[in-house]
Amino acid sequence: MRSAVVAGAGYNSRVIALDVPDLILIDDNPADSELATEALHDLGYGAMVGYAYDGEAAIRLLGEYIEDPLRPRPLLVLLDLNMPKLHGIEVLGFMAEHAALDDIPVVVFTSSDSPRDRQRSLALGARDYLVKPGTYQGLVELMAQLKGRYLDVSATP
Amino acid sequence: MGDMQAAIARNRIPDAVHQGDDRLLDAAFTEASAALMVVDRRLAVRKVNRKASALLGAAAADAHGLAAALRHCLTAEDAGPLLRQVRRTIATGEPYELTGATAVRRDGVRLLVDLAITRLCAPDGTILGALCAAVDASDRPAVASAQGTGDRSIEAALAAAGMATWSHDARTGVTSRSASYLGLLGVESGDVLANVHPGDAPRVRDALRRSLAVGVHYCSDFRVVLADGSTRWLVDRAEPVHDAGGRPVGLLGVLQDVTDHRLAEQALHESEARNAAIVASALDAIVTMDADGRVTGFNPAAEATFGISRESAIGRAFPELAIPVPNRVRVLRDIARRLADGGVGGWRREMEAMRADGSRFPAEFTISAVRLPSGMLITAHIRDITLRRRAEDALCAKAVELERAVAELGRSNGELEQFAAVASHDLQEPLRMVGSYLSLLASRCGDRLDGKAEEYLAKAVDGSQRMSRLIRDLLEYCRVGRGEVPDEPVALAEVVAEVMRDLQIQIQAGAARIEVGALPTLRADRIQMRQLFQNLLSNALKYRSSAPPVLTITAQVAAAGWQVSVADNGIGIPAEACRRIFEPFTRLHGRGAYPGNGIGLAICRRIVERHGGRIWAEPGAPRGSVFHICLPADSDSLPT
Repeated sequence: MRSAVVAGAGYNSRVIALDVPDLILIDDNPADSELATEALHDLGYGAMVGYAYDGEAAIRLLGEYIEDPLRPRPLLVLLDLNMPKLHGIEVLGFMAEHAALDDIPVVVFTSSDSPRDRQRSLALGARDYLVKPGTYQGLVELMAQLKGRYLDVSATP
Repeated sequence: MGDMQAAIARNRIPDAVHQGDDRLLDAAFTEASAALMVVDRRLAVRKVNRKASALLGAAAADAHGLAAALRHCLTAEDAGPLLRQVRRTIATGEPYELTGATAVRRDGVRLLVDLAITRLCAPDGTILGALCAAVDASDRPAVASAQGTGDRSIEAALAAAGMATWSHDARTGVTSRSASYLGLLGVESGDVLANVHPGDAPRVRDALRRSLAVGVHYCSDFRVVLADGSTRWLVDRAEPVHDAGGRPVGLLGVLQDVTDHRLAEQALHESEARNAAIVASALDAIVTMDADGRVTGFNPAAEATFGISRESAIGRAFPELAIPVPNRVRVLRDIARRLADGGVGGWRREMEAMRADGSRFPAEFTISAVRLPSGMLITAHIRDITLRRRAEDALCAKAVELERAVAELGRSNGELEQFAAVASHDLQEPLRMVGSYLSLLASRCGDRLDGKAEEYLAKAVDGSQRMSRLIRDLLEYCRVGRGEVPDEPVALAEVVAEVMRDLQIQIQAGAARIEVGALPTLRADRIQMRQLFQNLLSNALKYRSSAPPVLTITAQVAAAGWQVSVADNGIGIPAEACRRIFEPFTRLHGRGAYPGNGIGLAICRRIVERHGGRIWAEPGAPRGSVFHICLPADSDSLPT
């Protein structure tokens, strides 16, 4: 793993802000985060990635952006829904309540293809709703799309 | 007869006076059948004959003045005017007659008399006084005089009242009747007793005979049978008329039609008998009591219910008899308050009652009070509800049991679905890991694997994906059954349009044509409706024949709502499979020919059934298949 910001990792649930990430992965499954990071690496993406391993950690991490309006915003937050402590939908709700987080784009990235989850997520301001693919190739394709849309600085308005 | 005698008295006797034959005159005067009395100009009584003496009595015969004499023998109403008439006749010479005056004999017997007054003058014209003559007219009753004068108004009144008058003179055997008489008896003439009911006739004859013979009041009631077969009830009453000697010589009678009265009486009797029968045969105990609660009536059911005979119950205080002590005072107060409030309607309560032996039973009491002219009548209906209570308890227990079973079923169904949802989600995670890392392995280490190994890896990835798809379908199937069905207006036309947008690629790839008719707006779950049509349309596109797919979506009003039909020209469904295809994981074709797990139509059925509807399929004509969906609708969403 390259440079990383880790929040809520098993040994310490305090937010450790090593640097300012461009991408934040919020997922309770470290393997999913690892696969996503690997896919981005295969795509040649080398920027800073931040991690939160449960909903509460995600709220703390996002809270720092509320406290510090000048802190550079991440280009993308990938949010899982089914997480212990705090569900992804609640994280979206928290973000919707805070105008300071309006400029942080969130894409839901989950194993649930429930129409209701999709509807609620989009209603709470998620930019997109993506179901985690079952293969690595599928994941690489998805990450390629996300990279093109959000992470390539040249493509960001 | 009486008129003739009066005429003799008026005319012959004064002539004899003029002729001066004293002995003949005296004899004629004394023996005249009329009562005669001579008064002078000062109205002093100068001479009375035998009849008059009998009428007036010795004391009156000695009376000096006419006024006193008249008061002796006439009623006050008749005496005064008559005295004035005598004066007038003496003054003017105008004779005066009064028919139908009532004379009272010394023994108190009342007689009907005709009176005549004539002035007496000497041959030279000197006014001497007056002759008063009275003739017994008892054989001609008062009503007869009304008939004689033809008083139509009295006749009319009698007829209207259903009455008739009659009189009978025993001496002559003559009976006179008012015009209405024969009408009441239903005969035109002749034997008036002809129509009297044969059962009553002898009794009537006897009563009449006895009354005439003894001179007592006559009264009998009898039936007459009219020509039309109807029966009328009549009451006949008569008073005897006596002659001067006190002998009964006739009857004055009134006949009255009392049929209506009798019928009313009969109806009342019947109604009373019926009520008595109802009370006697009632299954409820019925107890009547007076204002103090003393039993006045106790029916057989009450005897059975309370285990005490009617004889023993009558007169006892009902509350002490029937209501156990703990409740008694409170109940009595409650009833008393109700009665005091004027609430004499029903007071109804289920409470414990007591038998004579002290045992208790649950009962329903209904107590009502009626104010009668003779006092308060309180009626209590008591129904032993032991059996009903037992049945209610049993029913209640069954209901509780059923409720528990339903709750249990609901809970276990819910748990099953919850389990399936959690299990499928939790199964999904590791499966995705298997698939992802296997493919990551193939991607990173591909160059170090031989062809066989690559093939094995590909099969493993495919298996994990298939299982993932299966779990996803299962999850979706479970999800349809959970939670409430949102109830919002859903325009099916919009839903179908959205689904067609989603299926744009398949539609274009297959060169399919989709014809959509007018579709209704229903109250439904929008997401599930979308899922329903998504499954149906994608199936129709998937199971296509070699010809370009043509889909037709139509709607029509059905018995209980809307029937929406989706018809296609695809490969069709064998008739025998039309039911089976809605079962979960049913596949009619090999996996190679058409992908899928066979869950789509099961989900469709679940959605439709959750909306209270029905879905079925049938082979299309000439080919393909038709899926029909019946969905209930509010009556206001249906076209009129």
